[in-house]
Amino acid sequence: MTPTRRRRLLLVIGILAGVSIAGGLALSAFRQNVTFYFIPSQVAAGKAPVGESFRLGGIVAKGSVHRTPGSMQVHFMVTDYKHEIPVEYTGVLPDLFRENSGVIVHGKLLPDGVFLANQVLAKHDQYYRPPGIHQAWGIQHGDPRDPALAVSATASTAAAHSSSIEAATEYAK
Amino acid sequence: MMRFLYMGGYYPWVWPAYVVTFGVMGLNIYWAKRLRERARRAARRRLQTQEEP
Amino acid sequence: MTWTWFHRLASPPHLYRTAGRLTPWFAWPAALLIIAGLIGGLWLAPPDYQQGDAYRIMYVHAPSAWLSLMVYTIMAVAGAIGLIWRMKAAHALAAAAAPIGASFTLATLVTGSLWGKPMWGTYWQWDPRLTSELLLFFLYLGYMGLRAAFEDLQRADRVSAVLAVVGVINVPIIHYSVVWWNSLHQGPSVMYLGKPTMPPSMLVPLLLMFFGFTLFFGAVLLVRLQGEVLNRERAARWVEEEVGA
Repeated sequence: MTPTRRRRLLLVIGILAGVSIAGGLALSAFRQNVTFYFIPSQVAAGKAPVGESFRLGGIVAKGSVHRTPGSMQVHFMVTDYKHEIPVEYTGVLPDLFRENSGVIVHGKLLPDGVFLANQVLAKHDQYYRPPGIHQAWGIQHGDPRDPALAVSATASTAAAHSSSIEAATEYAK
Repeated sequence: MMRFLYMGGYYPWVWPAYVVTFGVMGLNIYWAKRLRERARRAARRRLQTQEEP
Repeated sequence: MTWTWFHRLASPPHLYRTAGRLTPWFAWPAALLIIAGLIGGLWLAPPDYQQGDAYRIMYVHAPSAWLSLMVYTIMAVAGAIGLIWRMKAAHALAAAAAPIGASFTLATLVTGSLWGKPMWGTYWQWDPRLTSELLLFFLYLGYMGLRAAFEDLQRADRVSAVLAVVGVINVPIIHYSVVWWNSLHQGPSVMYLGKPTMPPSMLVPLLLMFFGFTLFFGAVLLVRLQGEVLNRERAARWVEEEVGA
């Protein structure tokens, strides 16, 4: 390699390294300050903004969904198996909204501890399988690299999630 | 066949997604061929203007 | 190690002819793989236990997303080679790749939106994954805009290559956005090696689509590259042989 080419190579590597370091620093700041949603444990720990709208993510607790007859109103509990937050919402629910499944709600926490949602989004995971098969391609949650999985769960038992929830709460701290 | 097109009720989302993707692919083929054709025509024109004088 | 093949490939007539010869070797397998993937994904694969048939959008969404990232990476590598070795062929390749990448990034955003509405309940959220993919689209547009803004081809090559190289840090950010941050988007399905996230009846059509889309990109890139190479050649004898004036 000629000296000029070596100089250009170093220059390109230098620019890329500089931008990567700047980007990395910006991201790590981002990671601490900006979250797309908060999990119930974070809200319980007072990490969510008070009096402002934010997103709450978690699992729809089993058996907690109650619809008010004759209206679009629905109540349910959002849980991370450590803390639960009651949510009230009026409107159309997405197709994937179901008990024991991941959900992200946007709204405000009222002083009485009820989360009044104006938008409900369902979260699904990256696991696909035909109906009726539950074991063979079973869900492998609890990947500590993926705290988002904590609310993407679709399995039927809370026990299956405990490890991923712990990972998520670790992450939250 | 109707059941296939119905896509379990998700036809308003599934089919437009496929149309968009294959539309993009078709446009890519068209644009690429057009670019090459225009380049060839421009090259031919350049060669002709060089020969004349 | 000898670099002759590298310099030979960089010679415009050789590049032009090689690209022309290779195109059908990409185009036909791409067509076959995509048709097989379509039959597998739309017809043979079972519906998902949760998403029903809506998950079939994955068969066009995920390969488009893969292309959007791969093409940008290729552009950045080609740009860096062009900057360091002053290699015109590398710049031509990056310039040829950009519009393809941009169009598939748009397809990713639109198909994702069409998938998000029935499943998540929203067309768009300012979620880390969605936002970083949108940023990628703007990077492509910026790259093409920058190229168009310069009259002087050499300057356009160099300035746009710097943008391509700098912007490439967005690529790992997009990929890991669903891992690093809380996101509405699910984790990667195929990129996690060793852990199957779907049965073969669903996975095989997806892999066919991945390979098909990649080869399709190769075929389109080669055609565009021929055009780019020809546009950069002024009064060379080989051009006369090729275009037969």
